[in-house]
Amino acid sequence: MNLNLKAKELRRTVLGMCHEAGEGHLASSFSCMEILVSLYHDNVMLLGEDVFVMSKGHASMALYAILSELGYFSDEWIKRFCKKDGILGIHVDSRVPGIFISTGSLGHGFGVAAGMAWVKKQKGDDGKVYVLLGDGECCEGSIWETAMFVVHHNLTNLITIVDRNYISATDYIYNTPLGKYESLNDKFSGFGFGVKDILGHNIDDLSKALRSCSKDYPTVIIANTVKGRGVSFMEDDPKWHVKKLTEKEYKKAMKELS
Amino acid sequence: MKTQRDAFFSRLYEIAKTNPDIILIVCDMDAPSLNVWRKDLPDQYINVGPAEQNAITLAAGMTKEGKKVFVYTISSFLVYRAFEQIRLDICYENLPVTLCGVGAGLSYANAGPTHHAIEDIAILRTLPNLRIHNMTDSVMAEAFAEISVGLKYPNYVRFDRGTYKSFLELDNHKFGYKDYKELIGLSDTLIMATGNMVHTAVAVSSKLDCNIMNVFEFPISDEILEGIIVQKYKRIITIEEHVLPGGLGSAVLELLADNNLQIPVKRFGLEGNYTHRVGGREHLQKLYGLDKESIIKGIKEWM
Repeated sequence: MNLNLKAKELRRTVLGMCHEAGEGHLASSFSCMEILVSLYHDNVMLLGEDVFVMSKGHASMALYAILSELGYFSDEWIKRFCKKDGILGIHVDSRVPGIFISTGSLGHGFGVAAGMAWVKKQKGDDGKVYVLLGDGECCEGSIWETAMFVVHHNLTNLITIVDRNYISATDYIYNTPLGKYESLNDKFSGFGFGVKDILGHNIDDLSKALRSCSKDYPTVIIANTVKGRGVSFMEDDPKWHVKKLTEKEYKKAMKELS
Repeated sequence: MKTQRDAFFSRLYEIAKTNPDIILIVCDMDAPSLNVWRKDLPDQYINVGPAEQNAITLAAGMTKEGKKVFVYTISSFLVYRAFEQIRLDICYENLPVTLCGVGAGLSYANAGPTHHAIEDIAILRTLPNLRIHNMTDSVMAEAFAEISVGLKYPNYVRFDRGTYKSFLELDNHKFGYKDYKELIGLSDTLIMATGNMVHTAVAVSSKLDCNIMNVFEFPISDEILEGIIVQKYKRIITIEEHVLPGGLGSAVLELLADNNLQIPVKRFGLEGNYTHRVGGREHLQKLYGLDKESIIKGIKEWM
C-alpha cells in the first residue's frame, strides 16, 4: 500500500477512536503519523530486534493505531479505547503488546530508551532503539540529563526523533523558554549530537534520514511537523491539544481524511 | 568496622565479579568500596554525575534489557529529586531495581536539610509495591547485599552513616538478615524503632523495662504484627529519626487500627520546623529530643 495512503487510513482510525471515546490527544497524534509509518512500514525498524519508545506518551492513539493494524492486538481494543472494559488509555502503557515502557509524564522515555541502548551496545547487540520526543517535551530538564549521557557514552544505536510541531500543550514554542525554533537544533548540536533537520510529513525523507544515521556520533532527527496535520481546521492551533470535536467537526474531519 | 554502605557494596562487589548482569549506577559518589568497582568492573559501573532523574530512567531501561541494577546516591537526592521517576519508571513498571540511599535521618548532620533524609520513609511508603529496607548496622547491610540481588520487587535500601556495634553480634554467629527482628524481654511495654534509633532504643531499655522490636522493613512484616498480638503489649513506643507524619509511628498506628488492636502509642520523632542549627548529630538529636535522656524522660511522663 502506498505509505501516504496508509498514514491517512491510520489518521482515520485515530480520529474514530478519539471521537468514540470523547477524549485523547488528537492533534499530537496526527503530527507524528508519518514518523511512525516510516519507522514501522518503510524498512527502518527491524520488528522484534529494534525497540521503539514513545517518550511523548500522550500521542498513544497514533502508536496504538499502528500496532493494532500490524496485529499486535485485536482492533476490538481500539473500539474500547478509554471505555470501561478497555485496555488502551490516553497515555502509552507497557501492558499493551508492542510497548516497552509506559510514558505520559514528559522527559522519562528518553532516559529509559538510553538505558536500553546502553545495554544493547554493551552486549554487542545489533538492535537499535528509536525514541520519539515532543518539542515541548524538551523543556524538561531530565531530557538534557539524558542528552549529556547519550553523547558521553556515544550511544550511536539510539536514534532520537523530535516531533517538532511547534506547539506545546497551550502555546506556540516560541512563547516557551525553548524560544526560537532553530534554537532546538543548536541545543542538541551544542550537546554533541549530529542533527538532521527534515520535513516531518515526507515519508521518503524521514526513512532516508532514519536509515543513514552516523555510526560515529549519536543523531537527533528533528522532524518539522504540523500539529493536527491532516485536518485543515485543526492544523497549527494550540487549542486543538485537548479540544473535543463536535459531531459536525468530526464529520468534516473524516471527510478530509477520506 | 566498615560503614553500612561499604559493607553492602563490598559484598555486592564479590557477587558482581561473577555476575555481569549486575550494574551499579552512581550519582557522583565516592567511597572506598566503590573505588574497587570502578577499577575492576568498569563495564558494570556508571557514574552519571548529579543527575538523579536520568539515573532512575536509565536503571529502568537497563532492567528492561535484562540487567539487575543498583542506583546509589545520597538518600535525600535519590528520593526527593527523582520521586516521579521512582514512582512511574520503577514502581508502575514493577521493576526489581535496588535504590541505595546513604544518609538516613540526620546522618549528614551539619550538611543541613538538603542532605537530611527525614521524610523518605513516609514518601516511599505510599508506593504500593516498593519495599523499604532500613539497615540497622553493617552486619545487616552485608547480609542484605546478597539478598538484594534476588529480589523481584522495587526496593530501597537505606544506609545510616554511623557505625554501630551490631547488637546481634554474639558468639561469632553469622546472623542472617531476618534474625534482626526482636530483642525479647518480659515487659508489657514495647519500643518499636528503626535504623539508628534501634541502638538508642537498646540504650533506653537498659534504664526502663521495655522489649524492643526492630522494624527494618516497610510495609511492616506479618511477623512483627504477630509478635505484637502474641505478647499482648499494654503500650507501644515508637522512635524514629524521621518526621512524625507518615513515618514509623504512623505505620504502626495504621497496623494497629487495621487489625483492631487498641494499644496506646507514644511516638518519638522529628517535629517542628527544619533546623538551621549545626553542631553534630548528637547535638541535633538533643535539640529534637531524640537523645536517650529525652526519650526516657518522655516515656516516663507518658506512662
